[in-house]
Amino acid sequence: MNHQASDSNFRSKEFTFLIVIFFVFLVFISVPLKADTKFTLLLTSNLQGRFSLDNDRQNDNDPMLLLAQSIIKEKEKSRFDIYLDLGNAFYPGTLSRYSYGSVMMDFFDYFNCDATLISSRDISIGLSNLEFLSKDRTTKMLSANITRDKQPVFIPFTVIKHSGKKIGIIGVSSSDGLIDIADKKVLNISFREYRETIKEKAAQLKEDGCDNLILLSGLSYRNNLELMQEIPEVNLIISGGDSTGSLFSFPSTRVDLQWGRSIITLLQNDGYYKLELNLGDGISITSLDFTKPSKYETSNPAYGEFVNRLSIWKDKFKEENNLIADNVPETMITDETAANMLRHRHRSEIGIIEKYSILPQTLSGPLYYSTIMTLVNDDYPVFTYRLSGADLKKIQENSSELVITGIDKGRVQNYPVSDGRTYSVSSTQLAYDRVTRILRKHIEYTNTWNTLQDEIENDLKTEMSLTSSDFDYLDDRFRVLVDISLSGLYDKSVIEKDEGIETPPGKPSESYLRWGMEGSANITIYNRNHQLILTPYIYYIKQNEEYLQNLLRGTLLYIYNLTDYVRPYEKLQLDTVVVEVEGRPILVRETVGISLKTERVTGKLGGGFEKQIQDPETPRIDGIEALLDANIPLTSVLTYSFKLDSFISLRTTTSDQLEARTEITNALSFKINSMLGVSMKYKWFKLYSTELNESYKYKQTLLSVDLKTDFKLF
Amino acid sequence: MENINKRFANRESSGKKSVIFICLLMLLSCTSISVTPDRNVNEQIKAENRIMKQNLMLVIRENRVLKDENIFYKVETGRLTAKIKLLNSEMDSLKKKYEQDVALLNEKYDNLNKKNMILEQESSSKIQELTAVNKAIEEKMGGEITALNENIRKQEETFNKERAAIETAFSSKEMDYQKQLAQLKQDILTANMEMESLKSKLAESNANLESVKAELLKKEDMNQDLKKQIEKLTADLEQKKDAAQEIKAGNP
Repeated sequence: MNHQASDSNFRSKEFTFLIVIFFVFLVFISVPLKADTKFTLLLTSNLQGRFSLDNDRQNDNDPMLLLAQSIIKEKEKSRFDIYLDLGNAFYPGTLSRYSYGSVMMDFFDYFNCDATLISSRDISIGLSNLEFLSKDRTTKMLSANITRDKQPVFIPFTVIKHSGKKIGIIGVSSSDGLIDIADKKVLNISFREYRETIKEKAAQLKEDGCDNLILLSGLSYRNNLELMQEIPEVNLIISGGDSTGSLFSFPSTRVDLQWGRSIITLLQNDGYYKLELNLGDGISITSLDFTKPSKYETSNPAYGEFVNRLSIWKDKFKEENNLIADNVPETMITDETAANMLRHRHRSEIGIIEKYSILPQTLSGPLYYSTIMTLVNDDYPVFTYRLSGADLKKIQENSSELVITGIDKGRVQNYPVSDGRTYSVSSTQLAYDRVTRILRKHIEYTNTWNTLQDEIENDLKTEMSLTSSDFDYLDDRFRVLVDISLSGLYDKSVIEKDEGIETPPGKPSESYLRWGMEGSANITIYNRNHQLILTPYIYYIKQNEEYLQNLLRGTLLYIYNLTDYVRPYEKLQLDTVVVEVEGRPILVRETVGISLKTERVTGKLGGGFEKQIQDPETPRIDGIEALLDANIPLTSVLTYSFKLDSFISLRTTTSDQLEARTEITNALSFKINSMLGVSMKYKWFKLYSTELNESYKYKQTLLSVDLKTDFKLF
Repeated sequence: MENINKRFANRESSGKKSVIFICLLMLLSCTSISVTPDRNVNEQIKAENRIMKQNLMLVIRENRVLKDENIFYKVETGRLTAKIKLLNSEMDSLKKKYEQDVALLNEKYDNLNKKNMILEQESSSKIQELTAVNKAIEEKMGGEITALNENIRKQEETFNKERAAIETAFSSKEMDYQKQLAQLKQDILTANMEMESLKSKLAESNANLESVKAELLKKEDMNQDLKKQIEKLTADLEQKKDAAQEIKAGNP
């Protein structure tokens, strides 16, 4: 009995022992499954396709080959699991641009880059080209928010499997990127709202069983922080490419958030980062180190093949390096020079380009295609369009990223910028895009379909305006401005006339009340120093056989822009009738004087003569002319204007008999839109003769609808 | 009055005209400059042209590079093919040489085998002969040692017997002489003289014994030398055997 008891006791102990062993085994098995997994990433950003153009000693000197050697070294020593690029890799490197990104894509492909984020400068290569390059490559081009017909153009995300874990990597491009107008028109490309896009993709990846999510972002810190708050599925954001990495104006490489997630920003672009992560329930960062590439001798076959291909690209580039211009005088080319060249080529008053569109260089002697390629940093087409003076002022106030030429101290061609006038502008699409963002409106434009590089090439082949020492001559160009004004008016005219005095040519002889029309045009030919203004004016109202208004006036005014405020002028004015009634009287006034001009008020004081030259011809009357023209805006739509036109003359040189002709106009105008307005005018005219001691008075009240338009012929 | 009516009627018609004119102005002012469909089509074509131009340039340039790369690889392939041919011919000649060498070495090997066999035979007969000599020497030495040992035993026995007899005689005489001590002082001298002569005999016998022992040691040394000679011969034989095996394995 005892024996049996001890046997069962022994068995129970054995069983317990086995259970303990099994439990310990389970613990040992399960611990590594739950343990953190080390995951190392090699990261690059803003590589900008910086290939050298020389084949000589390229293994030692080409920065991209040195980077390739370092990547191979890291790979051979198994120091990273995946290689990711944060964008802006394709532009503006000369060779990369020449190859339309092909050589850079080869670089990624040969050196096992798993994915590259499409960033704003990459788009300069052309989206259709990037799309073409991404086909049949191991390197994936990532962007979830660049869409065509609401479908992503590139791969929105990629999934990496590492030590039994699935890591989803989503790419989001900065919407600051500018899509080429051709891509926009033909491919219907646009940026989709990134928050919704990422939410959607993150949910999709989680459904697919991804353990961790990494976001490759070209967005700013502010946007990244917002994303982290809104999308908790994202464990880590790696930011680079377009992101400046500035947090409250300070560059920050890493920001750890309180809920155990981080934002990494790659600030340096002359090397590579190694990011060591621990993948557990979330992602924790172990280390982030930056390394500058260094020489490493390698016999890696992929490296050899790539060097071979790169050499061919360099040879081809040299083959196409045609002579553009011979004997170029020594000239420093800057953004300003290029903007002025655009003004020259498109006869525009204003030239606008983005800052750093030109890498400043001194050109001299023979000039080759490669030099122009290295010079230009903007491959978008050039647009021409018109901007109002008000818009121009607004752009100038927000021009920190723009270079604007043709406007100096608020003046264009030596004339103050007028809010209501329009000015011809030429700019690249990049600058145009910024202008529209500042003004928050669409501006009609004409596309030249030439890039800045094309323009420079064509200019150097023909006029070589780019090499001008100064561009003041552009302000000497004559322009023609036409202002047309048509008014439908309700006219109440009261005439008080003594018996002996004659009705002046074109003026009514009786009081009347009726609807009528008035029209005038100002044709101005001007440059920096001269103005010639031709103003035909018709004021014609006929009732039955009676001409209530029958004035045809032509004025030719020449102004020499001596100083900003004082300008001599000469004016010739002819007043006659539109329809001949008992002959065609013509009154000529010829005056010479000085014009005083301020921002709101223009005054003219001159001396000259008046003479009726026919029907009947009268003696010449010498006199003094005084003109005053004031425009005072009361609100943005309401303007008060005042006009005085006075001529005081002596009948003969010997007599003291005076004749005074004065017209005063007061007007209040309400602007409905840029072309249409409603105005109320009160005109007062008096002709007084001391010889007869009689006068002709004419009071006119006008309520009119005005259509005004102005355009520049060239 | 008629005039006034006329004027009024005219005023109405001119008012209508003015209203139409104002409406026209309104329309004109509110109409934005529309882009004609033709212009749109033109722009679209230009846009497509730009894209196609860029794509074409990319394709042309990439194609040119790949073409050159292709030519390079073709030349490289040609070079490598020629090298392969050269290496193949070199390999064939090396094969022939190898076959000749193998035949020669095989012949050498056979010769060496034969030599080895002869040497083996020679060495085994020599070993037998030397073993026999060794055996004979060992037997001879054994006999001599046994004889010498027997001699020593016999001499020791004789000596012991003689010593025992003398001691017995001396003890009986001592008893006699002690009794007659005073009387036989003269006889003691004589007896001492006899004793001295017996002592010299004993010394002589000891000397004989020592010389026999030395001879025995000499014989043992000779025996050791013979053994060493046998071992040396055996080692030579082993070396010759190894040499024969190496030759057999093709390593001359």
